[in-house]
Amino acid sequence: MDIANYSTYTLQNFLDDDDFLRFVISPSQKDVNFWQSVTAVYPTQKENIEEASKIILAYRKQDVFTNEANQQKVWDRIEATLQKQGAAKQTVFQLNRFLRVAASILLVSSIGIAYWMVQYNSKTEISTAFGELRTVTLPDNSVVVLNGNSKLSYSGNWDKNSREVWISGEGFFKVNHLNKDPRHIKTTERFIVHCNDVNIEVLGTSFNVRNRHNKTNVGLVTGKIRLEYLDQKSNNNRAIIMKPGDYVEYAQKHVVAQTKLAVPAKLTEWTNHELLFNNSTLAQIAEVMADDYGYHVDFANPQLANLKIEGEISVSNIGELIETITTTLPVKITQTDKNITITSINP
Amino acid sequence: MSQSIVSINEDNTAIWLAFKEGSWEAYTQLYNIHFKALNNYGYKFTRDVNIIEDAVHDLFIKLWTNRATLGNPTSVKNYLYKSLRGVIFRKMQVQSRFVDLECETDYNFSFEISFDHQIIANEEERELQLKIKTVVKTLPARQQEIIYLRFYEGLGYEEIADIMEININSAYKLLYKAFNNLQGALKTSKLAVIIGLYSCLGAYVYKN
Repeated sequence: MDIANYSTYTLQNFLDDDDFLRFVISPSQKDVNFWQSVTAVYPTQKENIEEASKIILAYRKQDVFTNEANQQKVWDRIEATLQKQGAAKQTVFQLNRFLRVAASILLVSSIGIAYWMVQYNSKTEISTAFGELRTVTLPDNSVVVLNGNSKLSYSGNWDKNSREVWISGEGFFKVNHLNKDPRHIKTTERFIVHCNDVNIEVLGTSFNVRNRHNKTNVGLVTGKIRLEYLDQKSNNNRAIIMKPGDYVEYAQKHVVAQTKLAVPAKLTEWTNHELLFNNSTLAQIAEVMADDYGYHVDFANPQLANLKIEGEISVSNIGELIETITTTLPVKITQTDKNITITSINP
Repeated sequence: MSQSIVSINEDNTAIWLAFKEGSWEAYTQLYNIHFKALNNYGYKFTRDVNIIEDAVHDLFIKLWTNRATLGNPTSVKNYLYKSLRGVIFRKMQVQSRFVDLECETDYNFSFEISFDHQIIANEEERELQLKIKTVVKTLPARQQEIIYLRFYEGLGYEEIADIMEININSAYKLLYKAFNNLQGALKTSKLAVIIGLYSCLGAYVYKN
Protein backbone atom coordinates (compact mmCIF):
# COMPACT_ATOMS: atom_id res chain seq x y z
CA MET A 1 0.00 0.00 0.00
CA ASP A 2 1.69 3.12 -1.24
CA ILE A 3 -0.12 6.39 -0.73
CA ALA A 4 1.25 7.83 -3.99
CA ASN A 5 -0.60 5.14 -5.97
CA TYR A 6 -3.88 6.68 -5.04
CA SER A 7 -3.26 10.19 -6.37
CA THR A 8 -4.84 9.46 -9.75
CA TYR A 9 -7.40 6.85 -8.69
CA THR A 10 -10.90 7.17 -10.09
CA LEU A 11 -14.04 6.02 -8.34
CA GLN A 12 -13.85 2.82 -10.36
CA ASN A 13 -10.25 2.19 -9.37
CA PHE A 14 -11.17 2.46 -5.72
CA LEU A 15 -14.03 0.00 -6.08
CA ASP A 16 -11.69 -2.42 -7.76
CA ASP A 17 -8.89 -2.19 -5.23
CA ASP A 18 -8.50 -5.18 -2.93
CA ASP A 19 -7.01 -3.12 -0.13
CA PHE A 20 -9.78 -0.58 -0.34
CA LEU A 21 -12.42 -3.32 -0.37
CA ARG A 22 -10.94 -4.84 2.78
CA PHE A 23 -10.89 -1.43 4.44
CA VAL A 24 -14.60 -0.96 3.71
CA ILE A 25 -15.68 -4.47 4.66
CA SER A 26 -13.65 -5.04 7.81
CA PRO A 27 -11.27 -2.24 8.61
CA SER A 28 -8.35 -2.84 10.92
CA GLN A 29 -6.90 0.10 12.87
CA LYS A 30 -3.99 0.07 10.43
CA ASP A 31 -6.38 0.40 7.49
CA VAL A 32 -8.25 3.28 9.08
CA ASN A 33 -4.98 5.13 9.71
CA PHE A 34 -3.76 4.45 6.20
CA TRP A 35 -6.87 5.72 4.43
CA GLN A 36 -7.02 8.74 6.70
CA SER A 37 -3.53 9.62 5.58
CA VAL A 38 -4.54 9.12 1.93
CA THR A 39 -7.31 11.71 2.31
CA ALA A 40 -4.92 13.98 4.17
CA VAL A 41 -2.34 13.87 1.37
CA TYR A 42 -4.87 13.97 -1.50
CA PRO A 43 -7.90 15.90 -0.24
CA THR A 44 -9.44 15.77 -3.74
CA GLN A 45 -9.77 12.00 -3.39
CA LYS A 46 -11.97 12.32 -0.34
CA GLU A 47 -15.13 12.42 -2.45
CA ASN A 48 -14.23 9.31 -4.47
CA ILE A 49 -13.32 7.39 -1.35
CA GLU A 50 -16.57 8.30 0.37
CA GLU A 51 -18.64 7.53 -2.70
CA ALA A 52 -16.96 4.17 -3.25
CA SER A 53 -17.48 3.07 0.34
CA LYS A 54 -21.12 4.18 0.23
CA ILE A 55 -21.76 1.99 -2.81
CA ILE A 56 -20.09 -1.06 -1.31
CA LEU A 57 -21.81 -0.56 2.03
CA ALA A 58 -25.23 -0.03 0.46
CA TYR A 59 -24.85 -3.23 -1.54
CA ARG A 60 -23.74 -5.10 1.55
CA LYS A 61 -26.75 -3.94 3.53
CA GLN A 62 -28.81 -6.84 2.28
CA ASP A 63 -31.02 -9.43 3.91
CA VAL A 64 -29.28 -12.29 5.65
CA PHE A 65 -30.78 -15.70 6.02
CA THR A 66 -29.10 -17.59 8.85
CA ASN A 67 -31.76 -20.24 9.45
CA GLU A 68 -30.55 -20.26 13.04
CA ALA A 69 -33.87 -21.61 14.29
CA ASN A 70 -33.17 -24.89 12.50
CA GLN A 71 -29.47 -25.18 13.25
CA GLN A 72 -30.03 -27.77 16.00
CA LYS A 73 -32.67 -29.65 14.04
CA VAL A 74 -30.41 -30.11 11.01
CA TRP A 75 -27.54 -31.17 13.27
CA ASP A 76 -29.76 -33.79 14.93
CA ARG A 77 -30.54 -35.14 11.50
CA ILE A 78 -26.85 -35.32 10.60
CA GLU A 79 -26.12 -37.21 13.82
CA ALA A 80 -28.99 -39.59 13.22
CA THR A 81 -27.84 -40.34 9.66
CA LEU A 82 -24.27 -40.97 10.77
CA GLN A 83 -25.45 -43.17 13.63
CA LYS A 84 -27.52 -45.24 11.24
CA GLN A 85 -24.55 -45.61 8.90
CA GLY A 86 -22.26 -46.55 11.78
CA ALA A 87 -24.77 -49.02 13.18
CA ALA A 88 -25.16 -50.69 9.81
CA LYS A 89 -21.40 -51.10 9.48
CA GLN A 90 -21.01 -52.52 12.97
CA THR A 91 -23.67 -55.19 12.59
CA VAL A 92 -22.13 -56.44 9.38
CA PHE A 93 -18.71 -56.73 10.99
CA GLN A 94 -20.05 -58.60 13.98
CA LEU A 95 -21.74 -61.28 11.93
CA ASN A 96 -19.75 -64.44 11.44
CA ARG A 97 -19.42 -66.05 8.08
CA PHE A 98 -22.37 -68.38 8.35
CA LEU A 99 -24.66 -65.65 9.50
CA ARG A 100 -23.44 -63.39 6.75
CA VAL A 101 -24.24 -65.98 4.07
CA ALA A 102 -27.60 -66.64 5.66
CA ALA A 103 -28.31 -62.95 5.88
CA SER A 104 -27.46 -62.35 2.26
CA ILE A 105 -29.62 -65.26 1.13
CA LEU A 106 -32.45 -63.89 3.21
CA LEU A 107 -31.86 -60.41 1.84
CA VAL A 108 -31.74 -61.55 -1.78
CA SER A 109 -34.84 -63.68 -1.42
CA SER A 110 -36.81 -60.99 0.37
CA ILE A 111 -35.85 -58.46 -2.28
CA GLY A 112 -37.02 -61.01 -4.84
CA ILE A 113 -40.31 -61.53 -3.05
CA ALA A 114 -40.79 -57.79 -2.61
CA TYR A 115 -40.04 -57.24 -6.28
CA TRP A 116 -42.48 -59.98 -7.24
CA MET A 117 -45.14 -58.46 -5.01
CA VAL A 118 -44.68 -55.03 -6.47
CA GLN A 119 -44.52 -56.37 -10.00
CA TYR A 120 -47.44 -58.79 -9.91
CA ASN A 121 -49.67 -58.12 -6.98
CA SER A 122 -50.31 -54.46 -7.42
CA LYS A 123 -50.11 -54.27 -11.18
CA THR A 124 -53.18 -53.23 -13.05
CA GLU A 125 -53.39 -54.31 -16.66
CA ILE A 126 -55.90 -53.19 -19.21
CA SER A 127 -56.00 -54.50 -22.75
CA THR A 128 -58.35 -53.92 -25.63
CA ALA A 129 -59.54 -56.29 -28.34
CA PHE A 130 -59.19 -55.52 -32.05
CA GLY A 131 -61.37 -52.61 -33.01
CA GLU A 132 -62.23 -51.85 -29.40
CA LEU A 133 -61.68 -48.38 -27.95
CA ARG A 134 -61.60 -47.98 -24.20
CA THR A 135 -61.30 -44.95 -22.00
CA VAL A 136 -59.32 -45.62 -18.83
CA THR A 137 -59.30 -43.32 -15.82
CA LEU A 138 -56.07 -43.66 -13.86
CA PRO A 139 -55.75 -43.31 -10.06
CA ASP A 140 -54.77 -39.63 -10.40
CA ASN A 141 -57.79 -38.95 -12.67
CA SER A 142 -55.65 -38.73 -15.78
CA VAL A 143 -57.42 -40.22 -18.76
CA VAL A 144 -56.09 -42.61 -21.40
CA VAL A 145 -58.03 -43.56 -24.49
CA LEU A 146 -56.74 -46.95 -25.62
CA ASN A 147 -57.00 -47.90 -29.26
CA GLY A 148 -57.79 -51.44 -30.37
CA ASN A 149 -55.28 -54.22 -29.69
CA SER A 150 -53.41 -52.21 -27.09
CA LYS A 151 -52.24 -52.81 -23.57
CA LEU A 152 -51.77 -50.41 -20.69
CA SER A 153 -50.40 -51.31 -17.29
CA TYR A 154 -49.41 -49.45 -14.19
CA SER A 155 -48.26 -50.38 -10.75
CA GLY A 156 -46.89 -49.04 -7.55
CA ASN A 157 -47.91 -46.43 -5.14
CA TRP A 158 -48.80 -43.20 -6.86
CA ASP A 159 -49.09 -41.40 -3.54
CA LYS A 160 -45.38 -41.72 -2.97
CA ASN A 161 -43.74 -42.38 -6.32
CA SER A 162 -43.90 -40.98 -9.81
CA ARG A 163 -46.94 -41.88 -11.81
CA GLU A 164 -45.69 -44.55 -14.19
CA VAL A 165 -47.49 -46.47 -16.92
CA TRP A 166 -46.42 -48.94 -19.58
CA ILE A 167 -48.08 -49.06 -22.96
CA SER A 168 -47.97 -51.13 -26.11
CA GLY A 169 -50.26 -50.28 -28.98
CA GLU A 170 -51.77 -46.84 -29.16
CA GLY A 171 -53.10 -44.51 -26.53
CA PHE A 172 -54.07 -40.90 -26.21
CA PHE A 173 -53.11 -39.45 -22.84
CA LYS A 174 -54.64 -36.53 -21.06
CA VAL A 175 -52.46 -36.17 -18.00
CA ASN A 176 -53.67 -34.38 -14.93
CA HIS A 177 -51.35 -31.55 -14.03
CA LEU A 178 -50.39 -31.76 -10.34
CA ASN A 179 -47.35 -29.51 -10.22
CA LYS A 180 -47.94 -26.01 -9.00
CA ASP A 181 -44.43 -24.63 -8.78
CA PRO A 182 -42.36 -25.48 -11.87
CA ARG A 183 -39.16 -24.65 -10.00
CA HIS A 184 -39.81 -27.42 -7.51
CA ILE A 185 -41.22 -30.56 -9.02
CA LYS A 186 -41.97 -33.37 -6.62
CA THR A 187 -41.55 -36.95 -7.79
CA THR A 188 -45.26 -37.58 -7.33
CA GLU A 189 -45.97 -34.82 -9.80
CA ARG A 190 -44.17 -36.56 -12.64
CA PHE A 191 -45.97 -38.81 -15.07
CA ILE A 192 -43.88 -41.26 -17.05
CA VAL A 193 -45.00 -43.40 -19.97
CA HIS A 194 -42.72 -46.31 -20.86
CA CYS A 195 -42.76 -48.04 -24.21
CA ASN A 196 -39.87 -50.07 -25.61
CA ASP A 197 -36.74 -47.98 -25.30
CA VAL A 198 -38.61 -44.71 -25.03
CA ASN A 199 -39.69 -42.96 -21.87
CA ILE A 200 -42.02 -40.01 -22.02
CA GLU A 201 -41.91 -37.75 -19.03
CA VAL A 202 -44.61 -35.19 -18.51
CA LEU A 203 -46.22 -33.01 -15.91
CA GLY A 204 -49.61 -32.39 -17.42
CA THR A 205 -50.30 -32.49 -21.14
CA SER A 206 -52.15 -34.37 -23.82
CA PHE A 207 -50.32 -36.47 -26.33
CA ASN A 208 -50.61 -39.54 -28.47
CA VAL A 209 -48.34 -42.58 -28.30
CA ARG A 210 -48.35 -45.27 -30.93
CA ASN A 211 -46.09 -48.22 -30.36
CA ARG A 212 -46.36 -51.02 -32.92
CA HIS A 213 -43.77 -53.36 -34.42
CA ASN A 214 -41.00 -51.84 -32.30
CA LYS A 215 -41.75 -48.44 -33.76
CA THR A 216 -42.87 -45.69 -31.45
CA ASN A 217 -44.56 -42.52 -32.62
CA VAL A 218 -45.25 -39.73 -30.23
CA GLY A 219 -47.30 -36.67 -31.09
CA LEU A 220 -47.90 -33.83 -28.69
CA VAL A 221 -51.18 -31.94 -28.68
CA THR A 222 -50.84 -29.61 -25.69
CA GLY A 223 -48.22 -28.84 -23.06
CA LYS A 224 -44.62 -29.97 -23.02
CA ILE A 225 -43.06 -33.39 -22.72
CA ARG A 226 -39.61 -34.82 -22.40
CA LEU A 227 -38.90 -37.82 -24.55
CA GLU A 228 -36.02 -39.94 -23.40
CA TYR A 229 -34.74 -42.68 -25.67
CA LEU A 230 -31.86 -45.05 -26.01
CA ASP A 231 -29.67 -43.94 -28.87
CA GLN A 232 -27.94 -46.88 -30.50
CA LYS A 233 -25.02 -44.97 -31.98
CA SER A 234 -23.85 -43.53 -28.71
CA ASN A 235 -25.52 -46.19 -26.57
CA ASN A 236 -26.59 -43.34 -24.35
CA ASN A 237 -29.90 -42.04 -23.23
CA ARG A 238 -30.84 -38.97 -25.20
CA ALA A 239 -33.70 -36.62 -24.63
CA ILE A 240 -35.89 -34.43 -26.78
CA ILE A 241 -38.15 -31.72 -25.47
CA MET A 242 -41.35 -31.70 -27.47
CA LYS A 243 -43.69 -28.78 -27.95
CA PRO A 244 -47.28 -28.84 -29.17
CA GLY A 245 -47.52 -30.15 -32.73
CA ASP A 246 -44.18 -31.95 -32.58
CA TYR A 247 -44.20 -35.48 -33.88
CA VAL A 248 -41.36 -37.91 -33.28
CA GLU A 249 -40.88 -41.31 -34.86
CA TYR A 250 -38.51 -43.69 -33.16
CA ALA A 251 -37.46 -47.12 -34.42
CA GLN A 252 -34.46 -49.41 -34.35
CA LYS A 253 -33.00 -47.40 -31.51
CA HIS A 254 -32.83 -44.07 -33.20
CA VAL A 255 -35.08 -41.18 -34.01
CA VAL A 256 -36.27 -41.75 -37.57
CA ALA A 257 -38.14 -38.52 -38.07
CA GLN A 258 -39.01 -35.37 -36.23
CA THR A 259 -41.76 -33.33 -37.83
CA LYS A 260 -44.20 -30.59 -37.03
CA LEU A 261 -47.87 -31.36 -37.46
CA ALA A 262 -50.05 -28.73 -39.09
CA VAL A 263 -53.10 -29.75 -37.12
CA PRO A 264 -52.05 -31.60 -33.95
CA ALA A 265 -55.66 -32.23 -32.98
CA LYS A 266 -55.90 -34.75 -35.86
CA LEU A 267 -53.74 -37.08 -33.77
CA THR A 268 -56.75 -37.75 -31.63
CA GLU A 269 -59.37 -38.36 -34.27
CA TRP A 270 -59.13 -42.09 -33.86
CA THR A 271 -60.47 -41.61 -30.35
CA ASN A 272 -63.82 -40.65 -31.90
CA HIS A 273 -63.86 -43.98 -33.69
CA GLU A 274 -62.60 -42.29 -36.78
CA LEU A 275 -60.08 -43.77 -39.15
CA LEU A 276 -57.93 -40.99 -40.45
CA PHE A 277 -55.28 -41.21 -43.14
CA ASN A 278 -53.35 -38.54 -44.94
CA ASN A 279 -51.54 -39.28 -48.22
CA SER A 280 -51.16 -42.86 -47.06
CA THR A 281 -50.09 -45.91 -49.01
CA LEU A 282 -52.12 -49.10 -48.99
CA ALA A 283 -49.32 -50.65 -46.93
CA GLN A 284 -49.79 -48.06 -44.18
CA ILE A 285 -53.57 -48.47 -44.28
CA ALA A 286 -53.22 -52.25 -44.15
CA GLU A 287 -50.99 -51.94 -41.11
CA VAL A 288 -53.58 -49.97 -39.17
CA MET A 289 -56.30 -52.43 -40.22
CA ALA A 290 -54.16 -55.27 -38.94
CA ASP A 291 -52.87 -53.64 -35.76
CA ASP A 292 -56.00 -51.90 -34.53
CA TYR A 293 -58.78 -54.04 -35.98
CA GLY A 294 -57.19 -57.46 -36.39
CA TYR A 295 -57.65 -57.79 -40.13
CA HIS A 296 -55.29 -59.83 -42.23
CA VAL A 297 -54.49 -58.04 -45.47
CA ASP A 298 -53.00 -59.81 -48.49
CA PHE A 299 -51.78 -58.14 -51.64
CA ALA A 300 -52.08 -60.24 -54.80
CA ASN A 301 -49.16 -58.26 -56.15
CA PRO A 302 -46.73 -56.76 -53.63
CA GLN A 303 -46.44 -53.60 -55.70
CA LEU A 304 -50.06 -52.80 -54.90
CA ALA A 305 -48.95 -51.98 -51.37
CA ASN A 306 -47.20 -48.91 -52.72
CA LEU A 307 -50.35 -47.41 -54.20
CA LYS A 308 -51.12 -44.16 -52.51
CA ILE A 309 -54.39 -42.40 -51.83
CA GLU A 310 -53.76 -38.69 -52.24
CA GLY A 311 -55.36 -36.41 -49.70
CA GLU A 312 -57.20 -37.19 -46.55
CA ILE A 313 -59.52 -40.06 -45.74
CA SER A 314 -61.74 -39.85 -42.70
CA VAL A 315 -64.14 -42.73 -42.23
CA SER A 316 -65.86 -44.24 -39.25
CA ASN A 317 -65.45 -47.94 -39.93
CA ILE A 318 -63.59 -50.56 -41.94
CA GLY A 319 -66.52 -51.00 -44.38
CA GLU A 320 -66.36 -47.36 -45.36
CA LEU A 321 -62.61 -47.55 -45.59
CA ILE A 322 -62.77 -50.47 -48.04
CA GLU A 323 -65.34 -48.59 -50.09
CA THR A 324 -63.12 -45.52 -50.25
CA ILE A 325 -60.14 -47.58 -51.35
CA THR A 326 -62.02 -49.36 -54.12
CA THR A 327 -63.53 -46.14 -55.47
CA THR A 328 -60.27 -44.20 -55.52
CA LEU A 329 -57.77 -46.85 -56.58
CA PRO A 330 -57.84 -49.39 -59.43
CA VAL A 331 -58.12 -52.33 -57.04
CA LYS A 332 -60.64 -54.96 -56.09
CA ILE A 333 -61.08 -56.08 -52.50
CA THR A 334 -62.43 -59.45 -51.49
CA GLN A 335 -63.23 -60.15 -47.88
CA THR A 336 -63.86 -63.33 -45.91
CA ASP A 337 -64.37 -62.53 -42.23
CA LYS A 338 -61.20 -60.70 -41.28
CA ASN A 339 -59.18 -61.84 -44.26
CA ILE A 340 -58.86 -59.26 -46.97
CA THR A 341 -57.27 -59.69 -50.35
CA ILE A 342 -56.44 -56.77 -52.56
CA THR A 343 -56.06 -57.47 -56.26
CA SER A 344 -55.45 -55.26 -59.24
CA ILE A 345 -58.37 -54.54 -61.60
CA ASN A 346 -56.16 -54.34 -64.70
CA PRO A 347 -53.95 -57.38 -64.70
CA MET B 1 -4.16 -13.09 -4.98
CA SER B 2 -4.81 -16.55 -3.61
CA GLN B 3 -5.52 -15.15 -0.18
CA SER B 4 -8.89 -13.86 0.81
CA ILE B 5 -9.05 -10.07 0.85
CA VAL B 6 -11.12 -10.32 3.95
CA SER B 7 -9.77 -13.00 6.24
CA ILE B 8 -12.16 -12.84 9.15
CA ASN B 9 -11.78 -15.72 11.58
CA GLU B 10 -10.00 -17.76 9.01
CA ASP B 11 -7.94 -19.69 11.52
CA ASN B 12 -10.06 -22.77 10.95
CA THR B 13 -7.08 -24.76 9.78
CA ALA B 14 -6.45 -26.30 13.19
CA ILE B 15 -10.09 -27.31 13.49
CA TRP B 16 -10.01 -28.74 9.98
CA LEU B 17 -6.95 -30.85 10.72
CA ALA B 18 -8.45 -32.13 13.98
CA PHE B 19 -11.68 -32.96 12.17
CA LYS B 20 -9.74 -34.93 9.57
CA GLU B 21 -8.13 -36.91 12.39
CA GLY B 22 -11.63 -37.91 13.45
CA SER B 23 -12.34 -35.40 16.22
CA TRP B 24 -16.09 -35.25 16.70
CA GLU B 25 -15.70 -32.03 18.60
CA ALA B 26 -13.90 -30.34 15.69
CA TYR B 27 -16.58 -31.62 13.31
CA THR B 28 -19.29 -30.12 15.52
CA GLN B 29 -17.35 -26.85 15.60
CA LEU B 30 -17.07 -26.76 11.82
CA TYR B 31 -20.81 -27.15 11.62
CA ASN B 32 -21.54 -24.45 14.15
CA ILE B 33 -19.08 -21.99 12.65
CA HIS B 34 -20.35 -22.30 9.09
CA PHE B 35 -24.03 -23.25 9.37
CA LYS B 36 -25.38 -19.69 9.17
CA ALA B 37 -23.15 -18.54 6.30
CA LEU B 38 -23.89 -21.68 4.31
CA ASN B 39 -27.62 -21.14 4.74
CA ASN B 40 -27.27 -17.54 3.66
CA TYR B 41 -25.35 -18.50 0.53
CA GLY B 42 -27.77 -21.33 -0.28
CA TYR B 43 -30.71 -18.99 0.12
CA LYS B 44 -29.47 -16.98 -2.85
CA PHE B 45 -30.10 -19.97 -5.12
CA THR B 46 -33.39 -21.18 -3.74
CA ARG B 47 -36.04 -19.99 -1.35
CA ASP B 48 -36.88 -23.59 -0.59
CA VAL B 49 -35.41 -24.03 2.89
CA ASN B 50 -35.85 -27.80 2.68
CA ILE B 51 -33.43 -27.97 -0.24
CA ILE B 52 -30.87 -25.89 1.63
CA GLU B 53 -31.17 -27.98 4.79
CA ASP B 54 -30.97 -31.22 2.81
CA ALA B 55 -27.89 -29.89 1.05
CA VAL B 56 -26.19 -28.89 4.32
CA HIS B 57 -27.08 -32.31 5.74
CA ASP B 58 -25.69 -34.16 2.71
CA LEU B 59 -22.57 -32.00 2.67
CA PHE B 60 -21.74 -32.74 6.31
CA ILE B 61 -22.49 -36.45 5.94
CA LYS B 62 -20.07 -36.54 3.01
CA LEU B 63 -17.46 -34.60 4.97
CA TRP B 64 -17.51 -37.03 7.88
CA THR B 65 -17.66 -40.13 5.70
CA ASN B 66 -14.74 -39.02 3.52
CA ARG B 67 -12.77 -37.16 6.19
CA ALA B 68 -9.72 -39.39 5.83
CA THR B 69 -9.31 -38.63 2.14
CA LEU B 70 -10.00 -34.89 2.17
CA GLY B 71 -7.27 -32.41 1.28
CA ASN B 72 -6.31 -29.22 3.07
CA PRO B 73 -8.11 -26.33 1.43
CA THR B 74 -6.60 -22.84 1.64
CA SER B 75 -9.89 -21.61 2.98
CA VAL B 76 -12.28 -24.00 4.72
CA LYS B 77 -15.15 -21.62 4.20
CA ASN B 78 -14.56 -21.39 0.44
CA TYR B 79 -14.29 -25.14 0.25
CA LEU B 80 -17.63 -25.53 2.02
CA TYR B 81 -19.23 -22.87 -0.21
CA LYS B 82 -18.05 -24.65 -3.31
CA SER B 83 -19.26 -28.04 -2.07
CA LEU B 84 -22.62 -26.74 -0.93
CA ARG B 85 -23.10 -25.01 -4.25
CA GLY B 86 -22.50 -28.30 -6.06
CA VAL B 87 -24.94 -30.22 -3.85
CA ILE B 88 -27.66 -27.59 -4.26
CA PHE B 89 -27.20 -27.50 -8.03
CA ARG B 90 -27.54 -31.24 -8.29
CA LYS B 91 -30.64 -31.23 -6.11
CA MET B 92 -32.24 -28.45 -8.07
CA GLN B 93 -31.37 -29.99 -11.38
CA VAL B 94 -33.12 -33.19 -10.37
CA GLN B 95 -36.09 -31.17 -9.27
CA SER B 96 -36.37 -28.91 -12.23
CA ARG B 97 -35.32 -30.94 -15.23
CA PHE B 98 -38.38 -29.74 -17.03
CA VAL B 99 -37.66 -26.11 -16.70
CA ASP B 100 -33.97 -26.50 -17.32
CA LEU B 101 -33.54 -28.11 -20.60
CA GLU B 102 -34.30 -25.17 -22.78
CA CYS B 103 -32.06 -22.55 -21.35
CA GLU B 104 -28.43 -23.51 -21.49
CA THR B 105 -26.98 -20.05 -21.66
CA ASP B 106 -27.22 -19.10 -18.03
CA TYR B 107 -27.86 -21.01 -14.82
CA ASN B 108 -31.01 -22.98 -14.76
CA PHE B 109 -31.83 -21.26 -11.53
CA SER B 110 -31.76 -17.81 -10.16
CA PHE B 111 -29.35 -16.01 -7.92
CA GLU B 112 -31.17 -13.47 -5.88
CA ILE B 113 -30.20 -11.09 -3.15
CA SER B 114 -32.87 -9.26 -1.26
CA PHE B 115 -32.98 -5.89 0.45
CA ASP B 116 -36.60 -6.14 1.50
CA HIS B 117 -36.09 -6.15 5.23
CA GLN B 118 -33.49 -3.46 5.48
CA ILE B 119 -34.63 -0.39 7.31
CA ILE B 120 -32.53 2.57 6.27
CA ALA B 121 -33.33 5.91 7.82
CA ASN B 122 -30.91 7.91 5.69
CA GLU B 123 -32.77 9.15 2.57
CA GLU B 124 -29.65 9.35 0.41
CA GLU B 125 -28.53 5.85 1.31
CA ARG B 126 -31.98 4.46 0.69
CA GLU B 127 -32.02 5.98 -2.77
CA LEU B 128 -28.60 4.57 -3.58
CA GLN B 129 -29.63 1.13 -2.46
CA LEU B 130 -32.78 1.26 -4.54
CA LYS B 131 -30.68 2.05 -7.61
CA ILE B 132 -28.30 -0.80 -6.90
CA LYS B 133 -31.20 -3.15 -6.37
CA THR B 134 -32.82 -2.15 -9.66
CA VAL B 135 -29.68 -2.63 -11.71
CA VAL B 136 -28.48 -5.84 -10.08
CA LYS B 137 -31.88 -7.45 -10.61
CA THR B 138 -31.55 -7.12 -14.37
CA LEU B 139 -28.31 -9.12 -14.47
CA PRO B 140 -28.13 -12.83 -15.27
CA ALA B 141 -27.70 -15.11 -12.28
CA ARG B 142 -24.01 -15.84 -12.82
CA GLN B 143 -23.15 -12.17 -12.99
CA GLN B 144 -25.14 -11.50 -9.84
CA GLU B 145 -23.31 -14.28 -8.09
CA ILE B 146 -19.89 -13.00 -9.06
CA ILE B 147 -20.79 -9.52 -7.77
CA TYR B 148 -22.06 -11.06 -4.55
CA LEU B 149 -18.92 -13.09 -3.98
CA ARG B 150 -16.77 -10.05 -4.67
CA PHE B 151 -18.54 -7.31 -2.74
CA TYR B 152 -20.40 -9.24 -0.07
CA GLU B 153 -18.05 -12.10 0.66
CA GLY B 154 -15.02 -9.97 -0.24
CA LEU B 155 -13.33 -12.68 -2.26
CA GLY B 156 -10.45 -12.44 -4.70
CA TYR B 157 -10.87 -13.48 -8.33
CA GLU B 158 -8.96 -16.71 -7.89
CA GLU B 159 -11.25 -17.70 -5.04
CA ILE B 160 -14.34 -16.74 -7.00
CA ALA B 161 -13.19 -18.82 -9.95
CA ASP B 162 -12.60 -21.77 -7.63
CA ILE B 163 -16.02 -21.60 -5.98
CA MET B 164 -17.93 -21.09 -9.21
CA GLU B 165 -15.83 -23.79 -10.86
CA ILE B 166 -14.77 -21.66 -13.78
CA ASN B 167 -11.23 -20.71 -14.71
CA ILE B 168 -9.94 -17.29 -13.81
CA ASN B 169 -10.16 -16.09 -17.38
CA SER B 170 -13.82 -17.02 -17.41
CA ALA B 171 -14.31 -15.10 -14.17
CA TYR B 172 -12.82 -12.02 -15.80
CA LYS B 173 -14.89 -12.59 -18.90
CA LEU B 174 -18.00 -13.02 -16.83
CA LEU B 175 -17.37 -9.70 -15.14
CA TYR B 176 -16.68 -8.12 -18.47
CA LYS B 177 -20.03 -9.41 -19.66
CA ALA B 178 -21.72 -8.07 -16.54
CA PHE B 179 -20.10 -4.77 -17.31
CA ASN B 180 -21.27 -4.74 -20.92
CA ASN B 181 -24.80 -5.71 -20.02
CA LEU B 182 -24.91 -3.00 -17.47
CA GLN B 183 -23.67 -0.28 -19.70
CA GLY B 184 -26.63 -1.00 -21.94
CA ALA B 185 -29.04 -1.02 -19.05
CA LEU B 186 -27.59 2.05 -17.42
CA LYS B 187 -27.61 4.24 -20.49
CA THR B 188 -31.35 4.42 -20.12
CA SER B 189 -31.50 4.66 -16.36
CA LYS B 190 -29.04 7.46 -15.72
CA LEU B 191 -27.60 5.73 -12.69
CA ALA B 192 -24.25 7.37 -12.97
CA VAL B 193 -23.12 6.27 -9.56
CA ILE B 194 -23.71 2.66 -10.25
CA ILE B 195 -21.78 2.87 -13.48
CA GLY B 196 -18.83 3.37 -11.23
CA LEU B 197 -19.52 0.11 -9.44
CA TYR B 198 -19.54 -1.89 -12.63
CA SER B 199 -16.94 -0.05 -14.62
CA CYS B 200 -14.52 -1.05 -11.95
CA LEU B 201 -15.35 -4.68 -12.59
CA GLY B 202 -14.67 -4.11 -16.25
CA ALA B 203 -11.46 -2.31 -15.51
CA TYR B 204 -10.29 -5.36 -13.65
CA VAL B 205 -10.31 -7.27 -16.88
CA TYR B 206 -7.92 -4.86 -18.52
CA LYS B 207 -5.67 -4.69 -15.54
CA ASN B 208 -5.09 -8.41 -15.61
